[in-house]
Amino acid sequence: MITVKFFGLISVEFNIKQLLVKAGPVKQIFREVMQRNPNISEQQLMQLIMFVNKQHISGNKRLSMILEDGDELVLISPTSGG
Amino acid sequence: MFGYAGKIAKINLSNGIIENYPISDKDRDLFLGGKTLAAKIIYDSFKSKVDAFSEENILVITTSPLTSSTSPCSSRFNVSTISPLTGLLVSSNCGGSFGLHLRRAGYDGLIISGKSKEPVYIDITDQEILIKPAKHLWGKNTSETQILLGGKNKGKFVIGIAGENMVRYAAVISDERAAGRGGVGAVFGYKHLKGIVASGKETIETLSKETFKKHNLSWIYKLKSNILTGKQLPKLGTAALVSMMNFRNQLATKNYSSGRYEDFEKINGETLRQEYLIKNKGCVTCPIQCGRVVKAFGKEVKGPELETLGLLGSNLLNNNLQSILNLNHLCDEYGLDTISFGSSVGFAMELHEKGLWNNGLTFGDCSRLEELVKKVATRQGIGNELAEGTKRISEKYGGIEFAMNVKGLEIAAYEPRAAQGMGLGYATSNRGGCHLNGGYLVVLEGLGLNVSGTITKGKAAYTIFFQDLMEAVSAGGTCLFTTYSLLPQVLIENPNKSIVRFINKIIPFFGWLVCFLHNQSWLMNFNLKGILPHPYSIKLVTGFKLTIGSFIKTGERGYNLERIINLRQGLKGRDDTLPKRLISDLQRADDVDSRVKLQEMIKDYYKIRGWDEQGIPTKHRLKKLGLEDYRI
Repeated sequence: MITVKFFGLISVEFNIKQLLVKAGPVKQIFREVMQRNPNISEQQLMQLIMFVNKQHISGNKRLSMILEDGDELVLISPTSGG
Repeated sequence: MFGYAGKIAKINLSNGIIENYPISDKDRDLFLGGKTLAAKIIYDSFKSKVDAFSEENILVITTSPLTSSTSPCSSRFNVSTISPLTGLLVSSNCGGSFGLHLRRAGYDGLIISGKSKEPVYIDITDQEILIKPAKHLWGKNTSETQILLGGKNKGKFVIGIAGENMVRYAAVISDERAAGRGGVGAVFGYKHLKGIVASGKETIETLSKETFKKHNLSWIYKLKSNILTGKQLPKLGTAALVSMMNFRNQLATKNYSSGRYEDFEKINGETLRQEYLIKNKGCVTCPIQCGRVVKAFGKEVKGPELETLGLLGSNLLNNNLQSILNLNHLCDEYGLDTISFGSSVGFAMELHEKGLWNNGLTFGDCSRLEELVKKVATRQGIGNELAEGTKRISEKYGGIEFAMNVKGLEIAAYEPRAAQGMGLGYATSNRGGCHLNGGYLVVLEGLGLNVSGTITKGKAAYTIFFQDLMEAVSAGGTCLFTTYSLLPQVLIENPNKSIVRFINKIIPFFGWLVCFLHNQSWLMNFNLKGILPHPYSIKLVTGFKLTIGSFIKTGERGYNLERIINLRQGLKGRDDTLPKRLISDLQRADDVDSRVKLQEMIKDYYKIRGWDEQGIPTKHRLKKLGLEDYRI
């Protein structure tokens, strides 16, 4: 299983902090997130900034990246300013 | 006169003489108000170097053309003086209601000179200014003092016990908002000035009332529909940044020995909202409402900002959010800057850990911190030493390489080894280690846009642009959060799109263009009120022929004038630096770029600023800014 963590507005607006999902490609993980949280749209997930095991991953390749058991996927809304 | 009350009162606490301080229309046009106008007054008032704790030092409180207007986020006012931490000019900005009431009393500003023999407060109305005894207020905290000064429709600006005891980072409080940085409260304390209260019914004329009203409505709409000012800040406050900063290696942790804190989830904005938030509360005239109301000691009080969560949380390895809420409240009550307090304690903890100062303070142990706030404010025991700030502690106990200050002012919660531009900003900021006066380039380097924080290319030009812009916005009287509208929303909301990633990559390569525009600001002699509403607002209120170009030039003028004052105070170019930890030690052993490459940026910075190799503004640059008569 992998741990998906949510931060920022996505966490607050959908009242979601953490999910445990099956290992696999990020695209598949996104589908599972949407199934378990039908209010979250694919577009919203696509906008999130992504960290895998604390490494920033960007670009289209991120969706085909395969996550393995024990990995941590962080999804965080863009933020700014303080 | 439009946009100004037209009066600045000079109050001498030594002899009780109160007189009008003349400001010409030309000076208003050149310096607008706030910190830049205060710099002009301070420059004119001193002939040579002045010590912070001396009768010669003055406090200059200034409002701005938009203060107390119906413009959004415009309750800001400024206080400037010579800082007891840095010995340089400090300007501290506050969102409390005092500025609004000062304008209603009929004043654009106050200059407070001399020193009273006994504790006093100043009572300003639209009828008179009185210096009154404050013995009954001495020894009281900031909320009680404001209650005792009484009355609705009054603005108060007071110090707590820390200011009375001249703690070098004492704050001044209005409502629950602090003019926190640089130790202005200690100068109040030195002068035996407990506070100022202002009230009245004067109004300030606006030149183009109807157009101004329409412009404000559209500005408010823009702020409310922006993802940052309309959603993120109201929902999570500035605390929203904790998580992102942590993932970007930008969260000051364990006295800045790291940029990541493993317990960040216990102190982030999400946890603050879910477990502690009672309601939002913002400044007067603010549609954003980023302030938090939480509970501490059984009372509803102001919640912590990002800086406080960093400096009293991750920086001390304190994962107890209730402890941070309590400490934040105590700092407000005693009148202490949470950034400098947190940094001083973190430094003391590392000194203890390294065996350099046996003070009993250890990272991760928050059990003694509440008691420590009181000890600092009253200067008891080790509190007396912590009250001096990191620079002076390092002079006594060593550890200068990890005393996290610039020019004596403790740096904010953004760890700059993952944000080169922020590092340059800290090093060059006129008031020392300040994120805002430093230009806040971290907003491009991962907190907003996604420009690489490890490269130095173009950072000098962007740092200068944002330093000058924020200086101008401050002078105009608006909250700096209103500048987020400058960042194209489409870039913030779509960080993964190919075109956005491409733009983030090429932004540093356009430093030359920013530099060119900086030097040829006349090319921006127009207004884009949808992108930068500030100059247009000030134009509507005052009638000044402000454009984006002349507005930013006003910021540049202010920045250079502050630099001249600092040079007169003894500043040298070599002081534009950072603690050794940040420029020599790698933040992450596996990343050779994880240190601030200051030398690669500082030469460009001086060159673009029009300063010589010693960091002194050239005559040519000063003439260009209308400052040819200003000398060091």
